[in-house]
Amino acid sequence: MKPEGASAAAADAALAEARASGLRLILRMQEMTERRTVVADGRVDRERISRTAGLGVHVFTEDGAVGFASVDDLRPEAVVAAVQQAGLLARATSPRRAPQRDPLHSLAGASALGASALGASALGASALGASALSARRRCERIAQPAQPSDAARRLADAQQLLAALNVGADRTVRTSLQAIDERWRIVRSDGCDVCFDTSRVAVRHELGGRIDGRAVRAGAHLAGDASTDLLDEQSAGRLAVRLRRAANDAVAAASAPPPREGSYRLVLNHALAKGLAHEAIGHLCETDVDGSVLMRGGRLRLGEQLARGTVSIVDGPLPGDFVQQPVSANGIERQTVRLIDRGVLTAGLGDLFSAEQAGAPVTGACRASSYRDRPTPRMTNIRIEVAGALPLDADPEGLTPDDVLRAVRQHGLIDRSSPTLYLAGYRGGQAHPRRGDFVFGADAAYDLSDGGRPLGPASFSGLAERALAAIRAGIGPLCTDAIGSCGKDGSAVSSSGGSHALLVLDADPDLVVTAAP
Amino acid sequence: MIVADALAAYLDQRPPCDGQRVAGWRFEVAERTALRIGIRDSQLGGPYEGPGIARWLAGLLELHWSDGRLTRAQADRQALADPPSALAEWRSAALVPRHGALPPLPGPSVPPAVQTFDPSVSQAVYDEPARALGLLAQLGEDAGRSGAARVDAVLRVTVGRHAVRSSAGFVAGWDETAFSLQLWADELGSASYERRSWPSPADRDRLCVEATEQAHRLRVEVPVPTPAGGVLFAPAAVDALIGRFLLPNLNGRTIREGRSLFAQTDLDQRQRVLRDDLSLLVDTTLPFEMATAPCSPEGVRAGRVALIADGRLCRPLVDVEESQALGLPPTPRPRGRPFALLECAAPALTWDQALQALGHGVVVRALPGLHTQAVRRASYALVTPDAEAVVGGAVVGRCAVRLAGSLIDHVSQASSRVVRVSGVLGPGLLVFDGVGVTPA
Repeated sequence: MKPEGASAAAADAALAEARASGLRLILRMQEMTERRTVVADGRVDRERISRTAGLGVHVFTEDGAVGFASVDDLRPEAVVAAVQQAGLLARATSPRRAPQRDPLHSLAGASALGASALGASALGASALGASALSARRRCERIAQPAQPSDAARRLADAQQLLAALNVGADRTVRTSLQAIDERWRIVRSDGCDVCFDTSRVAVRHELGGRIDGRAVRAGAHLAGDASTDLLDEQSAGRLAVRLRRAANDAVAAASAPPPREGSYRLVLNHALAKGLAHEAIGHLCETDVDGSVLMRGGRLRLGEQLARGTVSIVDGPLPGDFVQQPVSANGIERQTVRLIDRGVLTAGLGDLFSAEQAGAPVTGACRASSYRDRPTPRMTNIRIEVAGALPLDADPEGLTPDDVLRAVRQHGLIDRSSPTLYLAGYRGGQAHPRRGDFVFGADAAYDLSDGGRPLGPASFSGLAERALAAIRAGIGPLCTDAIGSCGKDGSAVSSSGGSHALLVLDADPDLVVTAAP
Repeated sequence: MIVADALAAYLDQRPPCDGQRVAGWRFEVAERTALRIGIRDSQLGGPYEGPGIARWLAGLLELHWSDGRLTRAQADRQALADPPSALAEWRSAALVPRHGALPPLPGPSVPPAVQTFDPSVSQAVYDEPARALGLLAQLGEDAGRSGAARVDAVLRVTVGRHAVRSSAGFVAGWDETAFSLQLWADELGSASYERRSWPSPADRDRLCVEATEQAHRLRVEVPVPTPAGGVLFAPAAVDALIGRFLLPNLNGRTIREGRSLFAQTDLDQRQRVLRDDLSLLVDTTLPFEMATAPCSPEGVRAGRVALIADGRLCRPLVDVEESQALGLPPTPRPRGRPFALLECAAPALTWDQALQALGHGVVVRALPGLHTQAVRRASYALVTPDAEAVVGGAVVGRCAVRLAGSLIDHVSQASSRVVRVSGVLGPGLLVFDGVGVTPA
C-alpha cells in the first residue's frame, strides 16, 4: 500500500532535501481530529472539534549533531524549508558539542529490527493521505453512531441510569465523550515507511454533590480503541455500575474520620495499581531517564531481583485498549516488554537514542503527543501480574468494600501485626525517577482490620523499590482498562494499565499512608 | 494577517450549511514560530534536546447560526486556509447556548496598548538562532563554573502574531514574543525565567546563582528541625497553591452551580476569605508578563481587576457567556503567568528577613502531588522530599517533610507574612500557624 497525495509528496520532498544536504532523517506526520461532547445534567453543555495536522523532522549530521523542525504545512516547499532549518540548527550545535557516535549506527540497528518487517500492509496500517479515509469521516464513525445530537442523547440517556445515586445537595452530573481519530506516518532515510492508527474513544461520568457542607465527587470511565462502541446500552450499564461504586466510596469518605498516618498492609484497586505501575515503576525503566534509581552507572540494573518471584510487570499495547500504538514514533515495532519478569528486572523501555547507553535493547518504546514534540520512551498499557492470583467471588466492576473484606479474609491476607487498609479511587499521582519516590491520592480508605470501617481520603507515598518488594498477592482477574494522561517532559500522552482486581502490598516502613483533605 | 482577512471575508458572506446560515462570528487566529533548545547532562543539544524550530497556525472560532445555535471549534492551518471545507464539521458541532441566548459578540473597541513584543526575541527566532544557543551555552558554562557537576536546561523562544475579530466590528491585532528558560543544577537545584522579553544580565545571573546555590544547599541531608516553627513557601509554591485552590473556586460558573468552595451567597455578601490586608487580582496589562495581551480570544479588553479585595470576595472569574447569566462584566483572561497576583497592603519581608523571622522551620519551593488534592477543600497533605531545613535563620540542608494545612487558613492567619523576592513578581508566604510539618 503506497501512501498517496499530500503526505507522499511531502515525504518525497523531505527525503530528497535530506539527501542533498547530507542529513539522515526521521519524518513524523500526524493527522488528528478530536471531538468532545459534554452533557451536563441532561443537556448538551459543550461540543467541540479540534483538528491537528503537520509533520516533524528529526535530522542527524555525520558527526552526530541533531536538529528538529516542525510545520503544519504539507506543501513540498514548506517541508523542504523545515529540513533545511533543522539541518542548520543541528550544525550550529556541532562546535559546542563533543562529537557523538554516528547516529546512522542507531538507525541501521533500527532498520534491522523493524523497517524490513514493517511494511504498512504487514501491520495492517492504512496510508495517510488524501485518498485515505478522511479524518472527519473517521471521527464521525467513532463519535457519532448517527448524528452528534444522537451521541448527546445517548449520553443523556446514560445519565438517566444514575438517578438513584445520592451525593447530597447541589448534585451535578457531567458526562463527556472524547473521540480521537489519529493517524501517524513515519518515514526514515533508511527506507522505513510505516503508517499506523492510534484512534481511541472514552466516556466519563463525573458526579458531584455536597454532604454536610463537604464536597463529594466521584468519577468513572470506559475507554477503548476506535472500534469500541461506548454508547450502547451495555456500556452505559457498565459505566453506571462503576460510578455507583465510586459514589459509594466518596459518600463514605465524606463523613469518615481520616486515616491515621502510618505503614499498613495495603489492598489497592486496579486503578491505583495502574498508578503505582506507571509512576513508580514504568518511568524508572525508561532508558532516557539516565539517573533513575533502577540504574547504576547509567545502566539499568538488569538481572536484579526486585520483587517476589510471582510478580511481573508488563508494558505493551493490548487489543482494543485505549492506548493502542503498534509502532514507535521512530518507526520501530512496539514490543510488549516484561520489565519485571518473575521478580527480576529484565528489560527497559528503550528507544533508538538511549537504549544502548542504558544497557537495554531497543523496544520501540518511543511515543510523541504531537508532530511538534521530540519523542521519548513512554509506556502504553502497563500492568502488574501476579502468578497464581487468588480467586475473587465478586464482579470486579462493582466491587464493594464488603466484597474486598470477604476476599481478603477468605485468602488469609488480613495482617495480624499491622492494620490492613483498602484504598479505592485513584486521584492521580506523581513520581521522581531519580529519587525513586512517589505519591498517590485515593478517594477513600477502608480499615479491613476493623470490619471495613470507612476512612477519609488518603495519600499513599513511599519508595518505588520498597513498593515493588512489598507486592504480595493479586486477587481476581486482570483489569487493565484504567486510563490516564502521562505528562512526562510537558508532553501529554494517553496511558492505561492496571493489575488484578485487587493488589495486596505488605506493610513497609517506607510506604506510608496519610490523611488527604 | 492574510488568513484572518480571508476568514473574516468568508464568514461575512453568511455561508449556508445544513439549511442554516452563519449569522455572527468571532475568532482568534495566531501564527507562531518557536525555537527550542536544551542542555542535557551538560551537553548542548542531542536527540532529546537538539535545537528545533516549529511553525504553526491555529484558530479559535465561535460561530453563531441563524437557528440560534452556537459552534466553538479549534481550527488548524488546513481549515483556516480553506474554511468552506470545514464548515459542515463546524455546523455538526453546533449546540444550544448554555443560557438559551447567544452570547454577545464584541463590538468596535480599541484595546489598551500593552507591551507584548520584544524585537530582540523576534530577531533570535528569525535571524539569529545562534544568539539563543550562545546564551544557553554560556549559562551552562556559568553554572558549571559555579560548582554544578551536571547542568540541564530547556530554552524556548516564541514569536507570534495574533488577530481577534468579530462580525460586530471588533478588530485587534498584535505581535507578541515569549522567552522561557528552566535551569537545573545537579538535578537538585532549579530556577526559571518566563517573560515576553529577553532576560537581562541580572536575570541570567539570578538563574545561575539560584539553581547552583540551591543544589549546594540540598546536597546535605539533615533532620527536620524540631520544633519546626513554620514554613516559608517560595513564590513558585505560593503560585501553585493559588492556582490549585483559589482560582478554580473563584470561577463564576463553578460558584453558580454549587461546585465551588464558595457559595453564591458568599459572593453576594462579600464574604471575608483572606486577611483584610490581602487582595487577589488578575492583571493582563503587566509589561512583558506572559499573562499580558490587549484582549482575550473573546475580545474582552485587557485590564486589572480584583477578585478578592481587602480580604473580601469581590467578583468571580467569568467568560462572556457566563457574564450574561450572572449580570457581571466578563473578566480579563491571563494568557500565562501570573494567573493571579496576591497583594499585601502591609509591608512585605525580604527573603533574608523571612528566613530570620522563621528561625527554625523549612523552606518549600515545590509541592509534588498538589494536583491530587481536592480543589474544593483548599486544604492539603503532601510529602515534600526537597524541603530546605532552616536552623537559626539559615538553610542547613535538605530534609523530606510531610506538610498539612489549608491555603485559606494560611492567608487568614494574623501571623502569616508576605515575602518579596528580588526579580520575582509573585510573593512568597511565611506561615507560622496552622501548618503541620513532620519528618517524611
